[in-house]
Amino acid sequence: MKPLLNQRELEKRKGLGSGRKARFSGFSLSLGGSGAVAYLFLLPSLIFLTVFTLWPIVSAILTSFHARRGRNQVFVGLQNYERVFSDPLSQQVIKNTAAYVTAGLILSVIGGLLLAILMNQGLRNIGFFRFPFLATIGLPMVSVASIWLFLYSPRVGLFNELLGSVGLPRSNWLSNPDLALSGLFVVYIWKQIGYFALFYLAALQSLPGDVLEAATLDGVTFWQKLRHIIWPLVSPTTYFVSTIAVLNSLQQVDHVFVLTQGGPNNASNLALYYVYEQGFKWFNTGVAAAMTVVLLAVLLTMAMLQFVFLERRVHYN
Amino acid sequence: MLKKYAVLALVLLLCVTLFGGGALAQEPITLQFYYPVGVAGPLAQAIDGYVAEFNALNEDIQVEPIFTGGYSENMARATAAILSGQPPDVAILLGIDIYTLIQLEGIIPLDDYIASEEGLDIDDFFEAFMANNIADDQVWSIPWQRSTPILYYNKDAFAEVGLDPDTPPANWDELVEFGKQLVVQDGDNVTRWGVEVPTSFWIFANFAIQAGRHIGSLGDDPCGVYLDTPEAIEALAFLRRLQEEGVMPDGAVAWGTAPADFIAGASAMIYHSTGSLSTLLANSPFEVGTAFMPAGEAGYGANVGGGNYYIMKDIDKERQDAAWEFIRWMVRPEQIGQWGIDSGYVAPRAAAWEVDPLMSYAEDVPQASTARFQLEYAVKEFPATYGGQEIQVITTQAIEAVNTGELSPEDALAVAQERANDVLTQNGCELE
Repeated sequence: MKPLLNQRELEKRKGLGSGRKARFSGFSLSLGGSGAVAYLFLLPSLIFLTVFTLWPIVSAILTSFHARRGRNQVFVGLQNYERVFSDPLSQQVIKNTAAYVTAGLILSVIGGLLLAILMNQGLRNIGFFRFPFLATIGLPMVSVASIWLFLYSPRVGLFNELLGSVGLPRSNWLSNPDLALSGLFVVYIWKQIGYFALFYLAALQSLPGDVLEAATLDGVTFWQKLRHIIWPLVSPTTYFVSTIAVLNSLQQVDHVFVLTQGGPNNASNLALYYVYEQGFKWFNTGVAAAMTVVLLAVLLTMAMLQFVFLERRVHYN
Repeated sequence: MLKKYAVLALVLLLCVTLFGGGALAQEPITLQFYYPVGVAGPLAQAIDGYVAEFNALNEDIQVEPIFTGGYSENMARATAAILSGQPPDVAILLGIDIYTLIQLEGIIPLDDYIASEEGLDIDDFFEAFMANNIADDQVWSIPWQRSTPILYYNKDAFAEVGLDPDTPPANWDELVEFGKQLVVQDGDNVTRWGVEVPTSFWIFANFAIQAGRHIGSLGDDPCGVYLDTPEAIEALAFLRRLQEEGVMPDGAVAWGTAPADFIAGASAMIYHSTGSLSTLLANSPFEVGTAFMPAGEAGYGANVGGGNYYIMKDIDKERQDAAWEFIRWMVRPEQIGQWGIDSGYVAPRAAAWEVDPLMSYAEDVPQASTARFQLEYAVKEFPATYGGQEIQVITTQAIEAVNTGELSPEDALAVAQERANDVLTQNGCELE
């Protein structure tokens, strides 16, 4: 009997290393040569990931090759993609979205950084100045948009009242095709800029004070400091912020609902709102799925580009 | 002894089973009833009130009213429910959605119910209000909240600028002329506009009819859209002219803004659904006049609108029967007359106007009859086509493009026609 026990003891001691048996708080499991236990513990997340992420992606891709005829889905090949790329409406939506995302990216980075520098001044009661910018982060987009709806209102809105009081012509902000998209964008950036500034603020506060102090003593101007010291040192944050900014601006749709519903004449229609209209208002599920797949592809490509190019230039301490 | 107990037990068991079965049979049918509210005012309370009354009168049928938002949200919810195989039992949906609903295999024709002993005198319903309810020679829905747009005007404002409060504009030129007189300016700022025409396919269609040709089909054709005709272009050019002459505000006018502006005195005239009548009468601090929409070159013209009762397909026969009983109760002359009073919608059947409460109301409130008499010039509503929800939006966007000065009427309508043709083709229409 003794040799046998020793044999077992030996195996136990080999434990995880041998990959055949593992010991978890008092009980052991047979492993069959691979990380079965690991998979067991991963299973709950895997199930959720499959059901709520992987399957919808596969399903969207499948749906994008079909069109609804009454209750049935008919295979139509690439027809939906053709529509997404050649239809004047979707072209306008893509154009709107591209402009929106580009402006969002640039303003989130530059505006966020400048705002953070302002908020990082060693003023007394700085919290008082920080609060209004950071408070907008916590507000729901729907409430923000509802407030701005009044600000933009052509008759009683704040902007027109101000313009009128100094004798400037009033404007119908959201029903002007040239202004509607910018109107949405201003609301978005007003709400989100504090969020991006917060990341920069954290980065600025961890900057090496001695370097900046030395620069100041050497008579370096603010812009030189910004260009040659701060900007390179916060580049990891810039990388992070630019990724989040792109995702964020593509995801916001609440204010489109509240303020313009994509109008007038689709001047402020954005990709996600287009997907909603096609998919859930008119039940053109195929077109909605095709646009979704295109969006997904764009996002993946952008994430990869940012990873490959920006990552290399990012300076990590 | 034992045998006796056994028999007793059996009898007891039988009683329980019978009783239990009896209780099951008495379980009422609960109908899901989707309804939208498309105009201003507390109409949801009115409908919930009627349903509560019906429920109190019926033990075996209980109706659960589900408010689903505006017309398009309502249709989106109904479509999703039909596609998922879990439709409501009965729903108020737009008359123009008939072909979409048939294409979805979502609804049943009602001819058998109408002809049955517990039927309905369908000829009592006004012809214009039945135009959108018939396809393939079958009746698919029963009129409920039916309307036409009418012209509302502020009689006090008319008197104030020296116009006769009892002579509303009769044609397009008078509309411009009266409108100009009614505009009030404070420096460069207009504090009262002459007229507001909501930027909507449904209002625009009337102008096209007045110009001589409807933008939709008049018959049983789910593929008829005529947006790029000279008449439609003329109609849209007229809407632009109202702005160029300074009678109507620049830009788009939202559907919900017009009644609010009218009540606030910010617009002296508006085009709106007759369904807004009660709200406007109750809330305007001045005398409200109602009139036919002013005539164009081809005279008066209107396209009808509004919602009907539909019964859904994928439900048990007994639920469909129960839904029919509910509909029949709701469209009784007294009931639908009351609804006309509560809302302002045109009671869609002649009998409702010959009994109280509507008969005496119509005598007291002459405004309530304007839309009814305008029915003489009314035709089928646009866009009763496949993909109608999308074509509604496409048409409204063309009007937006013109009202904001982005495109000329010709260009805007050419684009809209092309986009509408795409939608129709996608839905299996063969267009020349």
